[in-house]
Amino acid sequence: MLPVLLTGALLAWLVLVPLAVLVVSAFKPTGLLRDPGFTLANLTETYGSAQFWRLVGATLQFAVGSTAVALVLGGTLAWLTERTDLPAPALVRAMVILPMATPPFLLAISWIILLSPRTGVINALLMSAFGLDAPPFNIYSLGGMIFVEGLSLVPSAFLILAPAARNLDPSLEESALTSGATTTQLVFRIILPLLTPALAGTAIFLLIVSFVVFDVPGTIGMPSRIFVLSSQIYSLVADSPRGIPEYGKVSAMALMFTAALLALTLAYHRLMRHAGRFATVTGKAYRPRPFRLGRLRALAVAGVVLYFLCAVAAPLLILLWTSLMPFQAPLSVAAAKMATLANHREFFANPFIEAATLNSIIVAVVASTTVAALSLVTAWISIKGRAPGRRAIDALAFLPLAMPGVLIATALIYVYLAVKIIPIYGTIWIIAVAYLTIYLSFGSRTMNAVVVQLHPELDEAARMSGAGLIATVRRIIVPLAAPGLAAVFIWVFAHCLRELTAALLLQGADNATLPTLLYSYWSGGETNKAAAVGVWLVIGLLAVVGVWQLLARFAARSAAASA
Amino acid sequence: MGLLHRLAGVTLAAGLIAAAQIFSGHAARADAVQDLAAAATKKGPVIWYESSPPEQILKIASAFNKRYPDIKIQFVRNTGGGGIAARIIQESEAGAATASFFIGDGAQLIPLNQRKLLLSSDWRSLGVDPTLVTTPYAVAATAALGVLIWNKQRVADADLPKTWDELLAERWRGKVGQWVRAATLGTLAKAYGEPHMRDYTRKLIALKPMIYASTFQLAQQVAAGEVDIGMGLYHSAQPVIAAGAPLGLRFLDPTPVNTLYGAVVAKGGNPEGAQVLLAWLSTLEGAKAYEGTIGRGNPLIKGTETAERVGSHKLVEYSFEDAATIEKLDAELTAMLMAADKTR
Repeated sequence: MLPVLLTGALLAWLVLVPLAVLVVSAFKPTGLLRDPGFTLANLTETYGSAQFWRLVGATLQFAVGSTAVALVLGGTLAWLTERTDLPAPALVRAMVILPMATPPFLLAISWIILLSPRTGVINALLMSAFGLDAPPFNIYSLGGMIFVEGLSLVPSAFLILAPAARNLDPSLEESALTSGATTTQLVFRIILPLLTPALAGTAIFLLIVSFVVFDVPGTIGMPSRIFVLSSQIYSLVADSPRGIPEYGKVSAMALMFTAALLALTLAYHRLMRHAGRFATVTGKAYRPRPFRLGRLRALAVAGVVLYFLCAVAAPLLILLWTSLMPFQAPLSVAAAKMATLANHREFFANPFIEAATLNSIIVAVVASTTVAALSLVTAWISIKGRAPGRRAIDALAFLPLAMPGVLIATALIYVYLAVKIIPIYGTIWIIAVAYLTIYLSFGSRTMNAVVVQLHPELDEAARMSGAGLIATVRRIIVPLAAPGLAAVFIWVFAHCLRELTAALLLQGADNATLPTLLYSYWSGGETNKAAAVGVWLVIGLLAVVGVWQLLARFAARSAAASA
Repeated sequence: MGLLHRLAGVTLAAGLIAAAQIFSGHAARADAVQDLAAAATKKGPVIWYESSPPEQILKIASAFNKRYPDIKIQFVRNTGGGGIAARIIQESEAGAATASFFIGDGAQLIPLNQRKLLLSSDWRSLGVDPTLVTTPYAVAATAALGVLIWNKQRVADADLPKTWDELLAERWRGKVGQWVRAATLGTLAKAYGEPHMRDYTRKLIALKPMIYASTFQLAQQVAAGEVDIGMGLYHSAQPVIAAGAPLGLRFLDPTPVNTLYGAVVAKGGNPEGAQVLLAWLSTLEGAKAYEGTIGRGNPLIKGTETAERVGSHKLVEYSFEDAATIEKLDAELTAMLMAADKTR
């Protein structure tokens, strides 16, 4: 009971306090907490506006479209990598995860350079090759936004679904096949039903992320005046023509996010009510057997290559090209003569780079480790525990997803300005706390999907054999949940390395991070220098992913040797 | 001769007295600044909030420290002006360390002053040119100047608009870019009237402009050729031009001006140092250091490049007291620009 209480108290501090700030802010005339008086004007003006509901409609289209793209691509790639005889699965895994290294707004900039109607590289090539009068693609469209946002979410979908796909009991598939089931029947009657919790959790997660994300709508949507709620919120904070950000209206809008999330959480809990149906990792012999793709193997490889081209190669190459240009110049032989390494030299000559890199790494390591550990605890309590209040703990771990990073950061400023016995305001630790809060929802969803597949007989057997709680956790639970923990760690680590909005708002004198450095170039109109930072950020994360893969292989070999 | 001698003597005496007064005035002003500087050195660093990159601000701080080596500046980069104002309010009300100095527009300064968070000072006694002193709590430090920018490879000189109204010609349909903030459009209302600028904005929207989050991005996209032309800002076009991009720039009459003001935060850790810094930025030396680094100069200080570039062009601007008017109009026109439109 004590662990449950401690976890509950920690989650309440991390989540409920900022949420309370958000709610109170919605009822304040200016949105600033210490200002006198209360008002309903923010709510009535926001929800009484026809434009707001048009924004909701556009946001739903964008969110559902992006979720569908990411779920289909991420799910297919997870299945191909984990359960089929696709060649070089470790390489494919790295290729799928790699786009996490690219901040979404850099991905958006890359695709703008590739597909903008007048100067887009791909449009120009296609018009030249086929003698077209008009560009075939226009990135400045809802379809363009969905395409790029979907691409940016594929690694997240993959990382949630891959452990679930890996942990499926192969005997169920074998039983179906020996009973004469076709491939279609296998997919729809065995695999998809077994993956339901993971798929539903992933869909809910992606839907809400798409609902609140700003980078892609703000970069691609704004030029053609396609606005969604997130870009409207950002504008109210960053571009408000009024002297002070319109926090009151922003909080009023955010209340709807929270209400929508509560509805989704309820749906998720109903889905999970009979969680035992999905437990497939049992104490029985468990040996995944790759599904033979046969003639589809070449098609699968081509699909993976095409994804890699769209998500990594083309954006990275155009980013590299842009980083070599003195200004944003279209791809051409004439422009190639202007190529220079000046932006890269500037990157390394920047006196802030060393401190910013160190800050980014410390924050990312602390936040990702804490998120992974806390997510396992909350998942275990909410899925396997019997203590009262376990549903509340699950809901608390999920709630921050409904709160845009900009609002969490704003709330944390209030909280840690007021609570002076925790002197983290203006330091890297307040950023770490923000990331812990922001990414806890991802961690808890992922670990829920993993824990739900672990049969209770495993830890029951350990306890009956005399193992205590710590030994059971160390020798049974953590090793079985290791793929999920690693997935959470690497996902949160990568997202911490690229997160911008909260880091900017929480920036003090000595806590700048790499993305804030990148932003300083980008916002100053130095797209080319921003591209140079982006290139090195991608290279850095590639190294992280590479080390991660090596460690995973080493751990697998060690485990095999000790067995 | 005698009369001439007496006249010469009186003139000389008067001249000496005047010179002595001027000298003593200068000396008094210099003393006042030195007194503040001496007090500032006994305190912590002057914390400066600004949205510009730290590399740029540190160059300015370096130039400032050549004159005042014992006053340290600590820079904290922050998001846009509104974010800075909100942060100062939050930190001041919580009794936490906050900025001593920042630069913002009237819309940000007025609510801060209403909350009694800004320090009023006798800027003349610190040698600040009276034309720069708008109110006791605000000194004109720099300005954003609206200019016409275009892609030199896509637009011939003969086709260039000579007035702002010519930017609404049908030839620019789908080829014009615009900053999402309607600050310059709103300022032009001072010359043309609010109804005219509402109509202007509607016509501009009918041309299906590309809307950009910042004027820096607008300048980049004009240089890249994604749009041909737009209403940009002088300082945000400078980095693109300096990089060798084919970006043209022209002042049109009237030139919309949005002055930004330096202010000292009352609850900042070193208001004395902040006053010295603001007084220094008001000198030609300080203004040139700021302009040379940020690219945004002060047209009110003779000898700056911005003042020379503006030359005889007619400048138009709402006064500081009209901040509420321009804020309201800016919000209205910005909302028009941001109204969702998927018909492009």
